[in-house]
Amino acid sequence: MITAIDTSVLLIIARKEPRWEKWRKALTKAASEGPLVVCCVVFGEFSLGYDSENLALERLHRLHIHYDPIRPETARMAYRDYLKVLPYRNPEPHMLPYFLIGAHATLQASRFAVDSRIDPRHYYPAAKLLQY
Amino acid sequence: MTTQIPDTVVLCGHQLEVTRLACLPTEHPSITDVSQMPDGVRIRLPKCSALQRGYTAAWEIRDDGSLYLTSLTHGFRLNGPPLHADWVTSVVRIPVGEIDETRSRELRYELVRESALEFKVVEGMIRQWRLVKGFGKGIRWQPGFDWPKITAMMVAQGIASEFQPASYSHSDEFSIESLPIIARQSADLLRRAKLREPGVGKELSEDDWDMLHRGWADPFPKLDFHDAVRAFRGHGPPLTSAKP
Repeated sequence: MITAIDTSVLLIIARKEPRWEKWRKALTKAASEGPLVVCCVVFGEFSLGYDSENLALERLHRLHIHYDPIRPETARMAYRDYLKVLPYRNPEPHMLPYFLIGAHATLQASRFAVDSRIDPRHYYPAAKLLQY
Repeated sequence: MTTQIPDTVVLCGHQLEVTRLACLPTEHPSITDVSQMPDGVRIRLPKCSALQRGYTAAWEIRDDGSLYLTSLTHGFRLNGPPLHADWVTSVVRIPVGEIDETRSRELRYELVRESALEFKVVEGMIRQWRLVKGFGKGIRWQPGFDWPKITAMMVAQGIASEFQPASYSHSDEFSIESLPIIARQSADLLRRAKLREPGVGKELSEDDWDMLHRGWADPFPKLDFHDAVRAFRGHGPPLTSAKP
């Protein structure tokens, strides 16, 4: 069972925000059930906190979190879904990362660890969410 | 019960088999009952235990999600061009994936596969779809008919590219022509084994997660993590005040 992780959860753990222990426990359990992965968008966001991408990769690797590139069909799906919703909302170009991350979690993973202020199903309707 | 001869359905160019896709409106003017002679006399057609319903139908699901009846054999004939199946309002289930030999032997009259594509059809148009394993309890329906997404989900779940692969068999007759088939079957088996590999999970201790913090400088230390995520993704000014 592959678990995709969102930047929000990595931030919670790295900053030791409230709920970080619950997420830490949930991800430790998830790691025993299958690989943990981050897509290129999440890796790009979270790795900004490190001096180099190699250091970020090394840190994630030691936690058995794999860098999982977005496959062509996933990218295509994400952009198509993004274009579908665009006419119904105000132009929001920054929504694209949500669609890329959501498509990756849906098509390349079995479940998704995300902590969001809004209902995560708003952006990731088909992804199965990891409960902590 | 004898294994039944299946209907066929062409799903966006892929020919698949299904035991019985939908019912048939036998009174429809475009459908002729072969046993009914023009003078009103009914003749007895030979019966076959492998065809209890008395006919086989060929269906087609087009790119726009519309369902068509394209031909009929044995007990009925379709006159004219493919018929839009506007009488069909039900859930249509098309088995996909590897054959489940155990359950197929138990059921006997049809082949059971590991997954199924389910479509909610309303008056011959697909309104919702989902890809299910087993009985599909708790799996959400997706709106519309989104063929690229369906194929991508099937690939993600390790379903072979031909959707209804034949059972893997060993043959004594090895030939150079069979090499591509063997290579494809081997690739499928390897991919599926990788997806299901037991023990792929790693043992982590909860203290290991402190590793994440080492050498990491928060790019947005004054924002709470929700707003930090929004800032990463190019949103404008954060919605809430800065982190205390």
